[in-house]
Amino acid sequence: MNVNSSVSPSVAGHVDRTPSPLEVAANVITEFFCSLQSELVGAVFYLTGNGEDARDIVQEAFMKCWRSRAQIEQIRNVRAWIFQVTINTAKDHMKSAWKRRSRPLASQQWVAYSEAPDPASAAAENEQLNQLRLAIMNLRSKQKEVFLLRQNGELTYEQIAGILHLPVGTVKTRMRYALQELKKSMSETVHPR
Amino acid sequence: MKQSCKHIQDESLNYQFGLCDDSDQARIENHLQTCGACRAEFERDEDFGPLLKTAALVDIPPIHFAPRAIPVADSIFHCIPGVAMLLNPRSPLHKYVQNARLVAVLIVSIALLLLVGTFLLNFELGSVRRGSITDYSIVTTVEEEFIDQEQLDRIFDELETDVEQVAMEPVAVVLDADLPPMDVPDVGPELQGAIEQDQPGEEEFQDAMDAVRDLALGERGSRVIAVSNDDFSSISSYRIRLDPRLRTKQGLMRGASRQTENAVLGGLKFLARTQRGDGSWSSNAEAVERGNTEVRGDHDTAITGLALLSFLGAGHSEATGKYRPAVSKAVNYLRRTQAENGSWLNGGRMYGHGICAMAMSEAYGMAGAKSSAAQSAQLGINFIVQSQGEGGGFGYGGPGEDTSVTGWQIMACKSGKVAGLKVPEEAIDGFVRFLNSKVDPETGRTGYRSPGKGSNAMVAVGLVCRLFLGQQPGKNPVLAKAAEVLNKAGPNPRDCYYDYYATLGMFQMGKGHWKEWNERFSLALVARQSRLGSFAGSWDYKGITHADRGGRIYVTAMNVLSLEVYYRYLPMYR
Repeated sequence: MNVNSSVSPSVAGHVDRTPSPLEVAANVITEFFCSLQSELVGAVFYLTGNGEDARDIVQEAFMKCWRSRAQIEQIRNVRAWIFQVTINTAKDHMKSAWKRRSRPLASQQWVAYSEAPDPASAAAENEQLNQLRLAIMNLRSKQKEVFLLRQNGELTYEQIAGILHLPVGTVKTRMRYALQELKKSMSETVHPR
Repeated sequence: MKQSCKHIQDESLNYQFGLCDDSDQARIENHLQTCGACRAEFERDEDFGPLLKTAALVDIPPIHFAPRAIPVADSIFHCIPGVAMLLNPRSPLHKYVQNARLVAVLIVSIALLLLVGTFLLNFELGSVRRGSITDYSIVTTVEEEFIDQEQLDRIFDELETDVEQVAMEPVAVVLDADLPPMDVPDVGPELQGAIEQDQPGEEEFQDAMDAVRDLALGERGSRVIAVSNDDFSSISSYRIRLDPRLRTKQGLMRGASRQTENAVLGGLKFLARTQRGDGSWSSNAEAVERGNTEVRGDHDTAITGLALLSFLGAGHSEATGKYRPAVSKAVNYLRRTQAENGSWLNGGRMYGHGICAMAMSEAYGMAGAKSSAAQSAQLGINFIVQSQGEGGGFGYGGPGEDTSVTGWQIMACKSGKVAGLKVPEEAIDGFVRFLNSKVDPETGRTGYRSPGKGSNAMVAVGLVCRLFLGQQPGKNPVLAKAAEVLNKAGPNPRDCYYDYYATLGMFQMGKGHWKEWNERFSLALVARQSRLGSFAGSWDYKGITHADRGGRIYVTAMNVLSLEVYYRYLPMYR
């Protein structure tokens, strides 16, 4: 994937001069983060289990990317890179003993955190969605990670394997287990009893 | 099912949820076109793709991504090439940086803890450490806590500049008909009348009192000193104690400071806190150290006498002062515990008796007609007179007379006499005889039981007793020699008993002795005072001579008395 193919960098406020390469890179990164906000926050939220943390982590990831903007030329896939940085930031955050205690969550926290996706949707669908969200939250972390990178990050299995230093087969297996879990949870809702 | 179908089944979920890679997607679609069984299988399931996509997202208000959120410190770090590399999340060194941050946080936390800990320990252990001049900073920081008399502060503010202009000459006036005229220079007309009489009448006395007061306030600025056998100086001392303004001024002129006054206030506060309901204090060192002041000790009456003396010394009497109730309770306790023969031998023996008799005498001297101590004090003095040994002194009860026990009896009789109690001349003569029998005229040392042989504390007791018995520094070389011994030995932070007497003695010796002693003694003592917790205002007793028998309260009472030296008794001879 090419930088310019998916998001065109905006050059705001600098009409009378050509923006420097660093400014361009910064704009690219900012654009990506703005457009991927829901995906990034969603991924981090499901990984950490805390909405406020997720916001902060994505901000922090943005800062990390922004600081590395000078190297953006060498990055083949900016979207994958941003997801990688964000997921790693989230993992660091969870590893840090300092913040670990903020991780355990009430299973329903996300309901309060994430607004209802569509006010018009039927109650049944809402319930289905809630069920699905709970199921994602309850996935095993290794499966959840792969699932989120694929679902929200739209990374290819090969890219995910590269980021996680795993064989492609393992990644696919984890994905399959994750999806099986999710499907199971949905079939319980859709075809009750 | 065909082998290829099996393979497709593995990918079916991916396909179903729309999560296949592009290559897989094409492969599966191809297969479904050819394989009806698989197609039927796939079509039976619902398409959860869009729902899953929604579920995995989180909708929140837009985040404003902007680089200006960079903390200044971070941006500085990133300007340094090496550090920037370390902070780069993709750098292999990054994980060490994460750890390093943790370590740095730990180190800073520990350093902070140590800092705070040392700070607190400094406060608490201040009493153990030898006081050094630098400790005063601590004093000023907690000064506020000890000031319970706004009045005192105002007086300090008012007087401090004033006093600098007043000559450091003392103004005690004592009368003695035997004095040659030249020893009584520049006495105002009010005093003249008093001087001419052996026993000044009430009116003359009052006139003379007013003159002393004026002089003490520096309003005349003249130097009026006379010397006598006793009464006048000490009576005026009692008066000066009672008037905060006069007392503070006296103190400032003779080397007291806010620090010493605050230490006195703090000490009295501690003593007031530890007084028991019956008015007494505990001499049980270990119990007091555990915070239990109710446990009885062997010397409770003696300790109560000392604590009472320290309140009286700062102007608190049965009639005046903030601690009037504490003083009244203590006086009542001593009255109740006095034996019918007038003694307080209970536990404290003759030591305790001298201390209690002295305290009751001063209580009476300060509150006069309002005091309930008069009769009790006289009975106590009477008991001293009755118990005086052949050599003029006193012992623990068995044979032998020693300077230490005798010293308290002499001070008691002295305090009683100036308070107006009856003390026979024979007893006073006996005291002088006793002191002369214990002194080594060569060295000026007063011994404990035999001439010249004893500790420095005995030298100090001897000096003080001689001074209070009316011996003048200029006329008896023994006094100067004794003072020289004390000067050479210096204050002893391990012996508050010695310090008390030595300080009193050096103060009365005056010029050439007092200023230096005061500099070496008072602020170092202040610096050793405890300042935190329930012991605030007290002094530690561990390692202090004799203190195992009286504990913290004994040491605190003695040290407060030492710090009241500036105004407790006026200088008698200058």
